[in-house]
Amino acid sequence: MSLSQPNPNVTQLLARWGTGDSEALKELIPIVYKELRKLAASSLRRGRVHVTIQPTALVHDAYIKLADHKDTHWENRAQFFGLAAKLMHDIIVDEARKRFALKRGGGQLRVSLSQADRFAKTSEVELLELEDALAELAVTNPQHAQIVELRFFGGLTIEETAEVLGISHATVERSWTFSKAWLRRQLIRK
Amino acid sequence: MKTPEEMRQLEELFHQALALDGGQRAFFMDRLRSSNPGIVAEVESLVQAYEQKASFIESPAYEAAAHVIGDSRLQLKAGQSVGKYRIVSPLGRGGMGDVYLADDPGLGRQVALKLLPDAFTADPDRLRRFVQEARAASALNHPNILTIHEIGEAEGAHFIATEFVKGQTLRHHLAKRAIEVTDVLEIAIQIASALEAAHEAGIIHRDIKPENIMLRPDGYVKILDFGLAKLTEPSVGSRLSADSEIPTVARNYTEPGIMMGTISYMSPEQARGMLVGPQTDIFSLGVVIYEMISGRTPFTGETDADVIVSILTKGPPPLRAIAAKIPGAFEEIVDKALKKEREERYQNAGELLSDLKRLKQDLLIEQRFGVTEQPTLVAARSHEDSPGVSTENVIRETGVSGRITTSRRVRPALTLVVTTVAAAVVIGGSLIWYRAGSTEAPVAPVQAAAQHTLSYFVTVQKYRDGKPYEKPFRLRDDINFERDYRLRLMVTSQQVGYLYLFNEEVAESDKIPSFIIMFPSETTNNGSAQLSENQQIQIPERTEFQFDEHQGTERIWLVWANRRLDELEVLKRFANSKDKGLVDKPEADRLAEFLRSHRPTNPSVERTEDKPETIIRANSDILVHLISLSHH
Repeated sequence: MSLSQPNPNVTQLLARWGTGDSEALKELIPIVYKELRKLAASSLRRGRVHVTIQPTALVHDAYIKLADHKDTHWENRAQFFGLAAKLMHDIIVDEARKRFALKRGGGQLRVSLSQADRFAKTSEVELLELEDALAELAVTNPQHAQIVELRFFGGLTIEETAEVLGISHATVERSWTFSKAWLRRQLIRK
Repeated sequence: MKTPEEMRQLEELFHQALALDGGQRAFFMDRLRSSNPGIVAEVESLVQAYEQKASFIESPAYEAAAHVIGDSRLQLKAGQSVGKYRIVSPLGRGGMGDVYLADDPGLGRQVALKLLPDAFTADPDRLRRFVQEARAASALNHPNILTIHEIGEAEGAHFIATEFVKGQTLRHHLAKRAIEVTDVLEIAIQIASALEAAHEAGIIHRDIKPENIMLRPDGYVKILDFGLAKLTEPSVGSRLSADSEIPTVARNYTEPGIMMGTISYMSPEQARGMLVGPQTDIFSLGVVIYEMISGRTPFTGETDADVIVSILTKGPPPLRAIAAKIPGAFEEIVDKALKKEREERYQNAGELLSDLKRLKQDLLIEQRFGVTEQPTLVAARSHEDSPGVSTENVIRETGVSGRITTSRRVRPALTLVVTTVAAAVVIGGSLIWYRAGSTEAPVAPVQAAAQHTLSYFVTVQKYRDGKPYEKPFRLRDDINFERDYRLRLMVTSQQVGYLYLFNEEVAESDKIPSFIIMFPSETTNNGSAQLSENQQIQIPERTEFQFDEHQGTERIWLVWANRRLDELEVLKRFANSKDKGLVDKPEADRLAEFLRSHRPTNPSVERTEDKPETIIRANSDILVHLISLSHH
């Protein structure tokens, strides 16, 4: 099975998942995960080449690739975006953890302390700090955290996020504004 | 940590403050300070955090954290370990990962260690296919394919440890200087040879480009990254169709120039996202050869899309318009490799290889015979200048005369390995033979007492399964030849004279030995035995000798004389394709007698060690020397 081709199977799985079939989700996750990883990698490379990168949501690409083009059933799309954003979140944070561990000399890739000290605060570190702050936010306001996930990790627009969560644009916008301020302040404080 | 209720309050105050402009906001804060002093600093810090950088996390994570997910490149430092390997220094960054020089302390050798970006190793299926193919290519043990020592994983990072090749990539080389036509040919031949072996094993490289070709200072060419393209088969975005096998390139660039450069080697079928085959590599090699000759790639454009359109629709600008000195035959070869339709290209690397080799030989002949000042025509054409030789004959005969080699009436001691390249010369040469015989100039008499010097060395090349396994080397000591070893003699006469070489047949008990005439032959030196001063002659000229299955010692008689030896000249008639050089009775008996009677002239024989060569000196007019080579 080629993951790069529209996969009608994904559409069916999404439909089944929509009816509460958790088995469908289990099948769906690895497919979407793999595709997102690949897309992320290629999109990033594109990002560095073309200065004027279009903020096309990666997840859209994944959806177009995975699901049947003809299927525009909104419920599926919303579900898919939600799932994809969550997976992207996992992928990116996992990656950051791995790299951070690598840099700090876990296991065999060991660097001397003096070398480690020279590492500036890198994006991995920033990302992991953000992750901590996001977890904190999720405790007091889970919907804020979810919106951040959809927007930041899933790359969804305000409108799409509102659709996925079934809430108004204004609510999303308000939440997003606050979350950004709050998260950034948490990061500054560290 | 705050309670949800406190958070809600904080959020509400934040929004209120944010909605106000300067003066109003200050007033709002002042009022807040008196009613709720505990929270005012919180609200202020939030508003400040927001206003300092409203764009915070606005870009999606996969863009903001680009290098985190997409680029697993860590700069490793000297002394760090990856698995059992210890980093020595960085060698370079490539699209497919960073390469380091590293020590393998266990084996005490240096390796090139390539760390693969995570993005390419995330898919276990692809990874497995890559490993399989890379190992298969390495297992071919081809001298022009980089040897892989290990493909492994350490700390979640996938790496490939390969032989460390000192030298530079063809890309670097191209950037620095123009490459001579003969060098272009040599490089192309070595690449084609590697591809031939790989294709026969069902392995397609998919990503032949100057970055993947290493040039060693000693002339070896090594192809890197066999199988690596397997890791990057999915397409880039939606510009290209979904299941194409695009070379690594397109998704690996770090700057636009590199991307442009690398897309340029893509075949039409890759650009279309169709299945690849051996002809895919041939196309890419065609692009590389074109670039080596002309300094530019054949398909260009301002954007990737333009390049791809050019690859799909435009013919390459004529090579000779850019590089006027290039032999026409070379242009034909490149054109054929660059055909849009796979069916019109060389169907396998072997075909391309023989055309390249033929061209090389033709150029050599022209240089040697001085047919033209600049080797712009191949030999077949050069014969057009010679009366009585028709180009058509030469070309037509070429295809069929490969047979020459195999059959021998009597069990051969040495089997002549003849390629189609040699065959062309056999035919061409045979026609020249008679002309040469009649026009040979009489040699000026040489003083009888003068010392004469002749030198020779033996070049050995190890073959495996009919393919070159190692580069030819000069025979230093006596070695026991094995069946797959091939050899040739390089003989230099320091003065004008006549040279004759005979291979004595393995004598069966109480039989008079029989001989095969090795030189002169139809294929060598225009069929003449005469050598000019310091002329070096290669025997056999275009091929190699190989041993047959019979164990024993090969006896090669070397005869030099300062005059034409009529008793040996008559043997030349056996040196035709019909007799396969086998000297018949009664001439064979006379030859045996000649060698026996002249042997006592025993010249002084000296071997130089640094550059192994045997030098024979004598004050006589005839030198006879026996070369013995043992084989099992």
